[in-house]
Amino acid sequence: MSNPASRVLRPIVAKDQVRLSAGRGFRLAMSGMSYRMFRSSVTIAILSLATAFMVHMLSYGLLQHATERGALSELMRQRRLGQEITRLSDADSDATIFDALATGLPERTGEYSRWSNLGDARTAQACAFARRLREAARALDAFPVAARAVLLGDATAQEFLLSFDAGDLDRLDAQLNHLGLRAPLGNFQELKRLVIDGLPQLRTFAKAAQVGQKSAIDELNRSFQGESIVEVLRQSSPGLAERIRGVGFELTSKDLGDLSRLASRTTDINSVNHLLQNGDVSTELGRLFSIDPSQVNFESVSEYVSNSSRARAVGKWLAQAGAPTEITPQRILELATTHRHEVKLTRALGNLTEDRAVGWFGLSERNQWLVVLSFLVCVVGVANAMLMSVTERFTEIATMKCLGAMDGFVMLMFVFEAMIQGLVGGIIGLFLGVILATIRAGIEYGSLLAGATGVVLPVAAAMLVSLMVGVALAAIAAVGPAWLAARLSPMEAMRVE
Amino acid sequence: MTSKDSADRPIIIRTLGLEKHYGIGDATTYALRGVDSSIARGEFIAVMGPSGSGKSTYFNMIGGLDSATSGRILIDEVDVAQLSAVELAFLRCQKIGYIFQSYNLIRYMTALENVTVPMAFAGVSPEEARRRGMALLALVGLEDRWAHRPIEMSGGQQQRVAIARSLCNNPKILLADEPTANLDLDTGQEILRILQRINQEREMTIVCSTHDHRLLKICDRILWIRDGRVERVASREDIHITVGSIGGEA
Repeated sequence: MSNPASRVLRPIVAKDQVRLSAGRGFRLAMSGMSYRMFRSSVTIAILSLATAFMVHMLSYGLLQHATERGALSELMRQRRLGQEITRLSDADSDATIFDALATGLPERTGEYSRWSNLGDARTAQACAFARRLREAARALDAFPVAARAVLLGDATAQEFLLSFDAGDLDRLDAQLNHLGLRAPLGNFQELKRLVIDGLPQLRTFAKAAQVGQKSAIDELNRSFQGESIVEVLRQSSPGLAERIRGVGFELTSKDLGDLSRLASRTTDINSVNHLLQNGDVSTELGRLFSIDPSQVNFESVSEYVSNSSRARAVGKWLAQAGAPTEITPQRILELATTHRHEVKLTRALGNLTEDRAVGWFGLSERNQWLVVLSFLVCVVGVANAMLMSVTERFTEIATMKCLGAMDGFVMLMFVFEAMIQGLVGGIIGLFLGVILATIRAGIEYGSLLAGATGVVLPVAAAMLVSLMVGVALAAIAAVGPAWLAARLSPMEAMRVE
Repeated sequence: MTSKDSADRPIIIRTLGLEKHYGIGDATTYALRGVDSSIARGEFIAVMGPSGSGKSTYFNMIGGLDSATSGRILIDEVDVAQLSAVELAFLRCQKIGYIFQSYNLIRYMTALENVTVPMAFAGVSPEEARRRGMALLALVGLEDRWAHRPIEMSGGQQQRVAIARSLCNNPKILLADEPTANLDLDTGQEILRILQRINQEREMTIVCSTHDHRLLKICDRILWIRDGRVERVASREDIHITVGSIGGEA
């Protein structure tokens, strides 16, 4: 045997070893998966469940949020309409005026500017002061509870500031210093300026606006010839809108239509309530719906009037008690349905306040944790599925490596496979999750779900995010086991069997 | 080295003091305890030895499938231990063909696809790979079964596909690890005939580990391994004299 150390070793020409294209790896992954259909579908099922859970949580949160926002704006509108009727019969309070100025509602600001007759510049100034006032009130509200009790007593921050005058400033300064608190509006000089310059101006402006509004209301009332505003609105005679606008109110025709409906509803509910107090009617209806006769009123009866036959039964008794002709069974059903809708709105809003949707995708903090935790569980599940898929194929990997496959190619094959599975599972999961979320929201909110407008785009975004997370999750879960497998020398891999 | 002309031929596989240990400390097992061997180009070598003798380990070492604890392996005058991952892949793909006891075909591929996989790794175009694959399947007598999956073929047929696959990049060395162990006598005989033909027609170096004594009739030399060492090297001419005793042993 010759001594090999004395020979010059011939280098291997390694550049000839080609690296296979990603397309080839993709095709190999596909044919491998179609052969192991069952195992693949289990992995896909796990992935689709993970994605479905995430999509469900996200889109349910979004639907909930949007539904509640829709309910809130509808309720706010109703409340505003109620206020509008009051405003047509009585001048606004100081607080209402300051609020409107601070918020800068254009129609209200315009009305006050017209009634006060002080000009646009004074109005703009008043708006600025109102904003400062609100800012100061918010700063006071942000103080610790104990400090608030010392400074404000029982009053709210706004009441406190409104009742404030220059003489109280020194006392407040001393108190703030004693408590070690920063003055609202940054420094005490600013606050002083607000109290000395701003408050008197604001009060003057509000007074002028109230006087103007009062005379506008008087003028309106004269034209009604003794009829109440509710009655006038209910009848909604032609030219009413012009008359109301003529005295300075900014009221759109749509608002007026809504006001008219609200007025007739109020009138009808009042007359129904009046009729229900009749002894015979309350006894009979109480028996019919199993309510205590003393509890029979519009609210309690509304709960039961859910179809036209029940409405006819109620109508029959009300007619016997001498109901006016406009209280038909159909109208009763309409009133009850609207009432139930309002109750539902209020309830939906109750959820909003107790479980306020903040943070990403309208998820509450508890749900954020739930999503994160469930995803950790899913990562482990997917990693396990991938590990199984890799270990049961050690021989195949070893064979591939014997035949000249590079480590990178082996890895690529597995990561591709995982990503395809992630994509398929993800898409299945998306639809599963969204359908589940919609059904769940539908059960909880019913018809209110229709008010969840503008939710399509965020839900689509949530779907996209979840799909990407699902694919990434599968790929990441596969990288570890695939790396492990690709790194083994072929014989070690075969021994693992 | 009494074989016909092995002394004149260049050495293609050489091992020097090859050792392989598994485990560490007291639990260390010694699979190979210093194996020196040299195999010339075009030789047909049979590696024999009882189970656990280190035969398979020796095999994996010279195939570049496993790394040695110490000692050197030179394949075609190149030290395997010094090769990078890319170079090792090149070696496995182009220079060595492998035949395994359990065939190791890829389950989800047809016979033809199995044969063309190494050609894909070698950068042969798909059309060329297909043409060469069909020719190789014809060589092992399976041209009409190219579209069958491994599960649809008998053991002998699978092993013939594996032989076709091992030949596809025209390697210099063919390593066969107990290729007939899972087959019946007739089928095993057929596999051996194919190997012999390859050795003669293509002048390919074949190293074949086996318990099958029929192999002794067709090989050039026999390497006995026992307890991790080369116990004996003999040429076929020498074996013919003692074949009775070996037959009795079996």
